[in-house]
Amino acid sequence: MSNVTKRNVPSATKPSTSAAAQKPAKQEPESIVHSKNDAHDPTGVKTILIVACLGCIWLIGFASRLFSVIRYESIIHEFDPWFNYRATYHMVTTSFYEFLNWFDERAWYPLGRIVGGTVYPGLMITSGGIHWLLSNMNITIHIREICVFLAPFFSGLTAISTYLLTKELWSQGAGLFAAAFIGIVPGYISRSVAGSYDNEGIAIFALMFTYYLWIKSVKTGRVFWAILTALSYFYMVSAWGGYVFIINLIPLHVFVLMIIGRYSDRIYVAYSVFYIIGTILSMQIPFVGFQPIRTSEHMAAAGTFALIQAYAFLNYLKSKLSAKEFRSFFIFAVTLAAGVVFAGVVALTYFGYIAPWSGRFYSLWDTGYAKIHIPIITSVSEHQPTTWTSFFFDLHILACIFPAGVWFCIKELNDERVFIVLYAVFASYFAGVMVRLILTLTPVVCILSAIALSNLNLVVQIIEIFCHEINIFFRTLEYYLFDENIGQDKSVDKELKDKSQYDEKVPRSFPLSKPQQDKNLNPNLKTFVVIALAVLLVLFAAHCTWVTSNAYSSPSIVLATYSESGQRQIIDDFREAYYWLRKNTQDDARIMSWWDYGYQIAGMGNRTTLVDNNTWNNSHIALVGKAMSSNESEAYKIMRELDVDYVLVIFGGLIGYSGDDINKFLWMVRIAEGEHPKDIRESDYFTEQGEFRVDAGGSKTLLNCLMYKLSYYRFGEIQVDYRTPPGFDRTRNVEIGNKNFKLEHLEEAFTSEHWIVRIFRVKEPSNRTPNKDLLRKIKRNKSVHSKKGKKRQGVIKNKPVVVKGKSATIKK
Amino acid sequence: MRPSLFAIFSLIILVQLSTCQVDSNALSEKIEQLTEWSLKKPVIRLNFEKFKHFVKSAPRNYSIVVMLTALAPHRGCQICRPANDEFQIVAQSWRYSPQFSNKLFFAMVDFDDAPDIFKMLNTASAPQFIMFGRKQGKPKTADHFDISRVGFSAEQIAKWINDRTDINIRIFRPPNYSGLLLVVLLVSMIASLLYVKRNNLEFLYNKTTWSMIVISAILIFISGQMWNQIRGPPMVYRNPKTGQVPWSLVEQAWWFSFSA
Repeated sequence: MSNVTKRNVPSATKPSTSAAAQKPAKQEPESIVHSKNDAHDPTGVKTILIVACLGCIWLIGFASRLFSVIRYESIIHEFDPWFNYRATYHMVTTSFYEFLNWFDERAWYPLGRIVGGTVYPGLMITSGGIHWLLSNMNITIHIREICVFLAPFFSGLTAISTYLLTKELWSQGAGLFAAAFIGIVPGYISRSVAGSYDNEGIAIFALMFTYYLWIKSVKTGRVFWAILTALSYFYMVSAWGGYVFIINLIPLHVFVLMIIGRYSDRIYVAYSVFYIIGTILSMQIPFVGFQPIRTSEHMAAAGTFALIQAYAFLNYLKSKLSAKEFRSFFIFAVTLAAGVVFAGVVALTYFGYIAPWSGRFYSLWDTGYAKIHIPIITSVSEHQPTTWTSFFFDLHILACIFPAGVWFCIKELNDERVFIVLYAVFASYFAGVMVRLILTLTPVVCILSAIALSNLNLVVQIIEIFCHEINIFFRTLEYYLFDENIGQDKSVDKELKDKSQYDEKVPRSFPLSKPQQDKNLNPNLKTFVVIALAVLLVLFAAHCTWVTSNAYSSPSIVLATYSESGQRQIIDDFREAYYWLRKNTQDDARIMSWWDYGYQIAGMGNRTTLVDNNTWNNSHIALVGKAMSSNESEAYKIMRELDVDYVLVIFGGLIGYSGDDINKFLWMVRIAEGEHPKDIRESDYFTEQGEFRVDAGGSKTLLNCLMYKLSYYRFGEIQVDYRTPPGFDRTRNVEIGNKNFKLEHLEEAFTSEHWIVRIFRVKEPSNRTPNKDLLRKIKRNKSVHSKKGKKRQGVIKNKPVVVKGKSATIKK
Repeated sequence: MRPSLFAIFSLIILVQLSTCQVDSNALSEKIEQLTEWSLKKPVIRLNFEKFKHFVKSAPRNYSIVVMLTALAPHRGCQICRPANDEFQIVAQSWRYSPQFSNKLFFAMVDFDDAPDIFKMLNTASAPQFIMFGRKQGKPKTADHFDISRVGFSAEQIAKWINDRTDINIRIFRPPNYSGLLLVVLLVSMIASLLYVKRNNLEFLYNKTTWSMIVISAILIFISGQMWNQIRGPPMVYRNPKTGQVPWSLVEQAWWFSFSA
C-alpha cells in the first residue's frame, strides 16, 4: 500500500528541479483518482483480498502447467531443456566452480565445447540454489524434480511482478487482471509448462521484475530503486540472451522522454545509476564478457547515456546563463556532440572495436537477410515470421483488446505509460518478425488488456459513442436513400443545401475527453457490457486451458496416440533408443545425428555427439549435413574422418510420425550446400518438376543418399497394412522408391519398437579390399577371331549368339 | 583396296583440317563480334538469325546465357520487367568486372522479336534463363534456371552461372537512390510542414493523433502483415492438387493456414 501512496510524491518532494516544477499542472487528475481509490483502505481487507487473489493466481498458474506431468511423468521436455538439465546436474554433483570451468568433451566432437563460457548460468544457479536450500532444510529431493517444476513455480512470481508493474502503471484492479492473464495466457505457458526447463521460464519473471523496478525508479528518482533495477537486470542477463531487449528498451524510454520534454532529474538519476551498475554487473557473466561495450546491440544504451549527461549539463548551464547566450551555445554544443559521437561510433566500428550486429539480431531488422545468408537461422521454425493465427492462438481475445489499452495509456500519458506504449510497439514488431518473440509480447499484452478492461466506464462510453455513430450513419443512409427515390426532380443545388443543413443538425462530438459524462451512463448498457466481457473472459480461460492441454503439454520425447477405441498408447521410442545407447555402446562412442538430437543423446544416452542444438559452428553442422546427403561411400569417407561410430536417424514412416529426418532433410541439404556448394546441390534432390518425393519418381540422388538409405533400410520388407504395398511410408503416404538395397559400410545396430529411432554402426574398413586394378591383373591375348567388322558373315536379326571364350555362368 | 582406303582416309583428314581452319576462323570472328557487342551493351539482343548463328551453330567455345522474355506491354508479363532488371545487373557486373573475358556472354530474346526461337526451343513461357554451355547439344534441365524455386535475384543468377561455368561474378548493384530519395523527401516534407506551422506546434501534442499512429502500427505488426511482407505470398492461392483458384476468402484462408 505504501508504494501506492508514493505515487505522486516525487513532484511534490522535489520542487527544486526545473522540469518537475513545470509539471504539476500536467499530472493527470485521473491518476490521482486511481491512487486515491487504491490507497483508501483503512481496515486492510483489500490487502488481504489482493494477497488471496494473487495466491489463487499462483496456484492456478502452477496447476494448469502440470498437464504433462499428470499425463506422462515428471520428465524433462524437448531438446534444449536436456542440456540445461545436464549442466545443472553437473553443477549439483560437482561444484559451482567446476561448472564454470567445465569443458564438455562430449559435445561437438572433436572440438568440444567450453560450457562455462558459452552458457547463461542463471537457470542452473537458480535451480541449484533451490536444491541447496532444500537439502540444507533436510528436504531431500532429486535435482530433476526441481528442474521440472521450476518454470511453473516461476510463473507465479511472474504474475506477481506483472501485478506490481501494472499497479504502478494504472491501478490495483488492473494489476490483478494482468496477473490473472499472465498466469494462464498460452503465449507464456508455451515456454513454462512443467518439464520445459529453459531459460525463458525464469527470464520472463526477471524481465517483468526489472521493468517494475525501472518504473519504480523513474517515479521516485531514488538511487535505491535504480540499484535494485540494475541487480534485477543482472539476474536477467545471467538468465537469457533476451536481456538485449531491456538494454535497448530502457534507453529508448529515456530518449523518448527527453524528446517529448518530460526530462526530469528523477530520470537522470535512475538511468545513470542503472546504466553504470547494470553494465558493470552484466559484464561479470562470462558468456557476455565485454559485449556491453563492444557490440552494436548495446550502443544505443551507451549513446543515450552520453546524451542524458549532455542534456543534464545543458540544463545546468541554462540556469546559469542568460537566454541569448544559452541559445547560441546550445546549438553549437548539440551539433558538436552529435557529430563527435556519430564519428566515434563509425570509426570504432570500422576499426573493429565495436562488432556489428550479429546475424540473429540483424535478421530482426532486415527481414530478408537471414533467408538469403544464414540457412541455419531460417531452418529453425521458431525464427519464422508470425501469422495472425498464431497470434490469436497464443493471445486469444487479449490480442484484440490490448490496442484499447494503448489508447487509454496515451490518452492519460505520464512518464511510465510512455514506457509501456514503447514496449507494446516494439514487442509487437519483434513478435511479428519471429514466432518465438511472442513470448516478449505476451506480458505487455496482458498488462494493456488489463488496463483496458479495468476501465469499464470508458469502455461503456466508447460503445455508446459507437452506437451513436451507427445511429447517425443509418439516419444519413436513410436520408440519402429516401432522397434518391423520390427526389429526382430536385435540383442539385437544393440537394446540396439540404445535405449541408442536415450535417449541421447532427452533433459530432467526441465526449471521451469529458469525464463528467461518467454519471449519465445508461445502466442497461453497462450491465450488458459487463456480461459480454465476462462471457469473453470465460471463453478466454477455456481457450487457454484447451491450448495448454493440447498444444503445449507434450514432452515430445514421449508420444501418445489414441487407438480407435480411445485407448491411449504411449510411444517411448526415443528413451528406449537412448537407453540402448547408454547400455550397449562403449563409453566413448561417437554418435552422428542431425543437430536436433544432440542434446538428447548427450543427456539421456550420455554419449559423445558431433553437433547439437547449440548451433555455434555452422561448418561442422554442414559437414554432418553433407555426410547425410551424400551417397554411402562418400559419406563413409566423411564419417571416417570424423571418427563416427554410430549414426542415429529418426524415421517416422512406420507409424506416421511427421517430425522425422526425411522431412527435415532439405534443411540438411541446404545447410550443406551453403558450405560445400560444389558437392551438394539442392536441385539434385528434386525431381524435374521441382518436387521432393521419396517414391519411385524421386530424384536418383535422393534415393541413394545416406539419410534415405538409413531411414528406409529393410523397410521394403515390411507390410504394415494389407491395403497398402510393402514399404509404404505412412508419413508421406507413398510407397518408397528404393527398396532392396544393401548397406556396404554400415550395419544396423538397433531399431526401436516403432522404428522411430534407428541406429547404425559404422563398420571398420575391411581387411581385404577388392583391388580391381593392381593384383591378379593377368594379361590375356585378344581373341584372334574378330567378332566385328566386315568379315563376319551374314547376321540374322535377333538370333541368339553364342560368344566364344565366355562361360555361361552368371557373373555377379 | 589399300590405296582407296588410304585415299579416303587422307581425304577425311584434309576435310577435317580445313573445317578446323574454317571453324577457328568462324569462331574468332564470332567471338570478336560478340565481344564488340557486349562492350557496347552488356546484354546482346538476338533475333532468329543471330540466335542460330551465335548460339545454336557449331563452333563455339564460350558460354552464353540467354534470357527469353516478353517485355512488350501488351504481352502482360509482369515479372518480365523485374527479371530483366536483375539480368541486366548481372550482365553489367560481368561487363565491368576485372575478369571480364570472352568466355561468357549475355543475350536476350524478346518474344516479339523472334517467336521462332521460342518455337525452336519448344517453350512458351517467359521469363526463362537458359545457359548454352561450352558443350554443344540440347540444354539439359540444369541449364534452365529454376525461377520458381530460387527466384530471379541477380545473386541467385550469378550463383547459378558460377555452378555451371566456374565463372564467379561479383554482383555490384547500382545503389538504389529511390529509397534514399523517398526518405529525404519525406523528411524534408515533415520538416517544411513543421517550419510552416512553427508558431503553432500544438498538433504535435495531440494525443489522439499519436494514439492513432501507435495503434495502427501495432495492428500492422500483429495482424500478419509482417508475414506477408517477409514471405511475399501471391494474392491468390491455387489448390495444388486440382489447380483451382479458391472461390472464397474463407476457403483461401483455410488453405493458407495449412500451407503456412
